[in-house]
Amino acid sequence: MTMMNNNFLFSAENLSVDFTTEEGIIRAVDDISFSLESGKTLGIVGESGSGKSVAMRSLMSLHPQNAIVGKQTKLLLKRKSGDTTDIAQLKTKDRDLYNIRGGEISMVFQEPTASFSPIYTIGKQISQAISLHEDVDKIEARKRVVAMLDRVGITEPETRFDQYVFDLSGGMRQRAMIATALVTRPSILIADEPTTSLDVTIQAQVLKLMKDLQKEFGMGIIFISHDLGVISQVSDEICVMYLGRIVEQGTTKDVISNPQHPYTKALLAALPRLDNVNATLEPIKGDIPSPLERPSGCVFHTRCKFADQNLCVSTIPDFEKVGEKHTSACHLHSNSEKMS
Amino acid sequence: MNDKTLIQIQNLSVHFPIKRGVFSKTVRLKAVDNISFNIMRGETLGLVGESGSGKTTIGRALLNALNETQGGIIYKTGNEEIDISTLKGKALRKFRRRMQLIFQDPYTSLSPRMTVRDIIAEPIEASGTSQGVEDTNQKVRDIAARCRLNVEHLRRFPHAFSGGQRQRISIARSLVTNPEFVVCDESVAALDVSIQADVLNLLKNLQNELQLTYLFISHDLSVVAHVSDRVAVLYLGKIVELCSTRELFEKPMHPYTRALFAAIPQIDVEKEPQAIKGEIPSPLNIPSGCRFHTRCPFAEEKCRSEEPEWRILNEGHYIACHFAEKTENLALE
Repeated sequence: MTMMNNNFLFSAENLSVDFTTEEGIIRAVDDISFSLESGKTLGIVGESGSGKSVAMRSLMSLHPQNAIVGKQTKLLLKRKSGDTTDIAQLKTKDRDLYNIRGGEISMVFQEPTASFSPIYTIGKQISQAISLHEDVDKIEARKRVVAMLDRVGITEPETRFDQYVFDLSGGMRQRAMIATALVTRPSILIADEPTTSLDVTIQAQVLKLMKDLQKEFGMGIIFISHDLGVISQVSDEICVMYLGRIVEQGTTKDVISNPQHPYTKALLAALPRLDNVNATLEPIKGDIPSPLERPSGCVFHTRCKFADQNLCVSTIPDFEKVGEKHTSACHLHSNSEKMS
Repeated sequence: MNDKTLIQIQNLSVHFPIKRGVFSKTVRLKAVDNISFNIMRGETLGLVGESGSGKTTIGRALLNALNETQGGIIYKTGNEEIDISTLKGKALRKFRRRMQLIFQDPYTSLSPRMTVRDIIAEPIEASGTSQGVEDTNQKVRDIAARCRLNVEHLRRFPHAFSGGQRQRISIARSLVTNPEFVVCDESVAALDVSIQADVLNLLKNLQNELQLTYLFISHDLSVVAHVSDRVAVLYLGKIVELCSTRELFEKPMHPYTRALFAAIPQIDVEKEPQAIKGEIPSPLNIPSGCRFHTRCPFAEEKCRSEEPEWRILNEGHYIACHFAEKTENLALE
C-alpha cells in the first residue's frame, strides 16, 4: 500500500490490462503497482512488448476497445480539488474523465509530427487544450499560449502561433507538444519516449527543458523510455518492466548502481557504454517471448542465466525488499552467490 | 595509397537537385560536400552524425547506388585499382557482389512472400554468379549456419521470426556473395538492447571469420564506439573529425564532437547531459565558413568567413577546425 503523504499524487494498485484478440487473450500488463509524488519523476524502462506504454495509458483510460482492465485494479489520483478519484472506476464517457485527460494528466508522445494535425495552426491546437478545460475567451487563450510557447523556448512565439506543424523542425515540434501538454497546468505529465525521435543534441535540450519546467510547475512526471541512459538521467525512481510485470523498482541510484534482479543486471551488461568502450557486450540469450506464450512462473525464466528449473518455472516470485526503497521480484536473492 | 587501403575516397560530393514549386529554380542540396578519406582493409570505420548529416548518402555513394555522385571512389583489389563511380551496366553488376549493404529495419527489408532460403539466395542469382541450384543451396546453408540459422529456418517465411532473427537473415543475405566490403546502415537501431548486443557480437565474429571491412553507420555513439576501429564524425555533409576510436573517445578535439559526447545521457547518474544551443541548419542553406559556427560556443570571426581545411592534427588524427588546439581545454559552456 502507498503511504498517503502530502506529496501523494497518484498510485496504481494491482493494475492489469488484457487485450482480447483473435488469437486469444493477451496479458499486456500483469498486476503492477507503483506511485508518484508531486515534483518527482518516475522512470519506466523496458524493451518492446514490456507493457510500459499500455500501463501508463491506463492513467488516462486511453485504451482501444478490446482492452480489459483488471477488476482488482485501483488507479488513485489526487485531484486538484483535494479529493481522490479512482480512475479505474470511471466509465468511458464519464464527464470527469474528460476533465482529467489534458486537465490534470497530460501526455507527450514520441512522434510530435503525428500528434499534431497538419490542417490547423499550432496555436489553434494548443488553444483548444485550454478552451476544453477552462472558460476563457480567444484573446486570453492566445495570450496564454504565446506565453507558454515562449516558456518552452520557441523563438518568435507570436509568429509560430499562426504556423503549421510542418513549418517547425523536429525539436521545435516536441517543444510545442510539451507546451500543449502543460498549458493547462496538469499535476501529472506522462512522457512516452518523448525524445526517441530526436537527435542527441536536441534531446539534451528537451530533457533540460522538462527538468526546468518541472521545477517551476511542480508536476509529477512519468517518463517512459527504452533508453537506460535517458531514464537514469531524468528519474528519481525507476521501475524496470519485462513482459508486463515490474521486476525491479527503486531509487535511480539503487537500481542503476546496485541492480538486484537478473533482468536488470543483464540489461546493463548488454548496453554499450561510453565510459567503457572496450567491454564485451553480453547479450541476453534468446528472444523476448511472444505475448501469446507468456512463460509460467517468473516471466524472465526462459532467458535467465540463473533460473532454477523447478521454482522459477512454477511460481511467480513476490517482491522482496532488497534495500530501503528498493524491491525486486526474484526467487534467487537469498541465494546470492549463485547469481554472481 | 598504402597497401592496407581498400577504398580511397577522393573529393566525394553528392548534390541532389531539388525543385520546389512549379516555377521555382532548381536548387542543389549538398548532402555530401567534397570529402576525402580512406577505408582500410579489415577495419570497421564508424560514421556518426545527426539526422541530415549525410551518413546514409555516403554509404549509398560508396556502393555506387546514387546517380548524383561526383569525385573518385577507388577500390583496390589485388593489383587492380577500380574507380567504381565509372562502372556501369554489366561491369557494375558483376562488381556489386563484392560490396553489400545491411539495412536498418529487418521488418521492412525482407520480402514477406519469399522463404528465408530464397531471400538469402537472391543476391547470388541477381549477380549472375550462380553455378547451379546445388551450389547455391550449399552457399546459403553455409552462410545461414554462420548466422546461427538452421536448415529448418530456411523453409519458413520472415513473419515467423523475431526482430533479432530477422536481422540475422538480413545479414546472411548480405554476406552470401562473399563480399569484402559491407555497409551497415543503422543495422541495430531497430533492435532492443538485449538483442542488439547479440547482433553486434555476431557482426564482429563474422568480420574475423570472413575478413570483412565494415563501414558502420549509426547515430548512436556508444554503439559505434564498441564496434569501430576508427570513427568519422559528420556534420552537415562534411567530416569534421576522424581518428582512432580510442583517441576520439579519450580526447575529442572538434567542438562538435565534444558537444555530441556531452549531450549523450549516460548511465552515470552524476554526469548530466549538456546541451549546445540551436539546431542543425538546413542542408539547403549551409552556413558560411565553418558550417558549425552557428552552434559553436567558441566561434570567432574567422569561423564565419573562412572554411577550415581538412588537416592532420597528429598521426592518424584528422580535423576540420581553425581553433581545435586553442579550445581543447575550454569548457563548452
